[in-house]
Amino acid sequence: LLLAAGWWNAVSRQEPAELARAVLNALAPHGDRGALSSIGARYIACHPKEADLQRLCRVLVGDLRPSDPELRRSVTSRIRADFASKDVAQVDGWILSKTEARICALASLVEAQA
Amino acid sequence: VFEDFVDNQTREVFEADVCIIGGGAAGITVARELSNAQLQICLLESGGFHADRATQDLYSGENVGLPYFPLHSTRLRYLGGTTNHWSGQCAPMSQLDFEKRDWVPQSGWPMERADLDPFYERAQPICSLGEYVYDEQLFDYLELTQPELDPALLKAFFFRYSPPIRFGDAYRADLEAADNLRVVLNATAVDIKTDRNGSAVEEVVFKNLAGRVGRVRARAYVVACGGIENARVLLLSRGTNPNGLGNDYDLVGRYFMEHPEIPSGRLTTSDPFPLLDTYLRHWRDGMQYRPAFRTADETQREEGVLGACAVLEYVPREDSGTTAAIAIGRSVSNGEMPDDLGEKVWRMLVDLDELIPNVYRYVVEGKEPLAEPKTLYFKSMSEQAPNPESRVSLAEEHDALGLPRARLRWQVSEVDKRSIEVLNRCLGIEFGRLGMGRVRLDDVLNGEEPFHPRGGFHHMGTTRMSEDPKRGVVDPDCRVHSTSNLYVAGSSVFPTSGHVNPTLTLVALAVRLADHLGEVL
Repeated sequence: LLLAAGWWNAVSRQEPAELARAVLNALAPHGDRGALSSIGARYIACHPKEADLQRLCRVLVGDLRPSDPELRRSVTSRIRADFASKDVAQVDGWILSKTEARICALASLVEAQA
Repeated sequence: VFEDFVDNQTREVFEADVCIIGGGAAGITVARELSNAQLQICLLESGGFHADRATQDLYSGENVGLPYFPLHSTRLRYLGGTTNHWSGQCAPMSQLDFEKRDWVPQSGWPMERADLDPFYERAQPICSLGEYVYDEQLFDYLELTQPELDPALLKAFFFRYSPPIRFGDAYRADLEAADNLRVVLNATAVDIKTDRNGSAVEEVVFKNLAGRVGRVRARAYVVACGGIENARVLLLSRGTNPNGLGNDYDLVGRYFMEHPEIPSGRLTTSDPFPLLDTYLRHWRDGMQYRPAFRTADETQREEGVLGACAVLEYVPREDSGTTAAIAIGRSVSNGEMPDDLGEKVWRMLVDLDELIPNVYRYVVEGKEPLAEPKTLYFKSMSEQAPNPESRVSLAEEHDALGLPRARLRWQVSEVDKRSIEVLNRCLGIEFGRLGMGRVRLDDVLNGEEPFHPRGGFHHMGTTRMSEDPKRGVVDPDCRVHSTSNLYVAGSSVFPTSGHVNPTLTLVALAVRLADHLGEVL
């Protein structure tokens, strides 16, 4: 717990946009950023409370580092769990897991800051 | 035995126990089933053995509702009726389709699926469909991986395909051979005449296109002309009731239903081939099958929607060598020279990576070749909520026999569309959970485009069945409530439409009606 707290303390001192880019690079290294960002913008328009880089990073990464190879596995299993519990978002017609919608939202916020 | 009313030597008055109007799937089924009974049967068919333009024009009519196909193109007026252009896709309706559902006004059949099961079973060979099995056990039989669907959201089932049977061709010899059966060709029923108070039919008047008049007198009469024409024939028979026969409560022609059909959702997946291998058509022991998905009963109840089903379709990429090879193969088998032969051959040569595995699939594995898809999508078909304003009535314009043509006002409602949306949302959730891809609902379902679905040439509901004469034209025996010896066969008696093609159900009901007539006559 102490280690995790220490890590999060360090991460939270990191520039939010820098952290967000690192998270996005880890989760969608080959994704079409333009498409993700456009879906994310629509998601944020319906869920304005999600327009918070730091919060999105925290929710997506949890207590892992962006560079941790476990991160993608953890997010993948969370996506499946979202679908299983019907925790989905309908964005521009796409039926996405809440986690996927948040990744898109992150892409949109990162693009907006670029 | 056939008689052709075009021939002036043919007699003008026929006596029979049963007069059947219409030689399509329903009429021919009733006739064949009854031909084993000790009854004399007379079947009136408006056309001959083949299509002809003048007779087919009797089917022209007006569309004044949603955009719809020209009415004469959706049905065929010669022996075999509309089975002459039938695709052959069949499945029985589900148990829930027969139930009274609180969230679907006017729903509920006066029978259960279990009551119809024995007749569905008898309808199978009539439609050349093999065993009466449509559920998930076919995944094993076809050696396919069954998806582990959440049963609260989706249910998998199978469509089966008739070759398809063209009833006129397939059963012509039976009709010819039956001594107790007269089929009068080129005989269009123009009036059903009743006694003074409309309680019993006394004769059916028919004409050929030259205006020659004939009559059939029988103990019982069956109207079996199709979902639009059944209503029209009753509305045209105004001898005792100016609103039409059986129309004491202004129900004839109302509650017209189709199966609204749209490309409903695009599927994005990293590995399309296993999906296409599973969800396209399969051939086994001479029969064809296709897996499909329908909205689970629980979701229909929770969301207050109607039944809907979907199949997976795909569009191959334009430059596919396999598509070029298929096109060449089709042209050659039709004895024609393919268009753009050089270009097609070139596409095959530069696309050998795709073509060679497909040759193996086709030649060694006996499977259909699969081109690399450009797009995968779901095509959905939904039930329609019964709506009295969606209706068939009589038009001002008259046909060649001087009779008002049919006028169709087809309407769809919000719940019809929402039923497709809910099904596709369930598909999105389940395909996501199973790691099979992501679904994007079509813009129509996002409300970005108007809902103008196609239909499937499925005409239902215009003489609906109910125990209550104020809610239905025919009773549970398919007898017109007001008239003791007049029956209706076909999908016009469906009180609700279900979400699968209607032919198997209407044939099952025709078998059931024939049994009933055999008992009461």
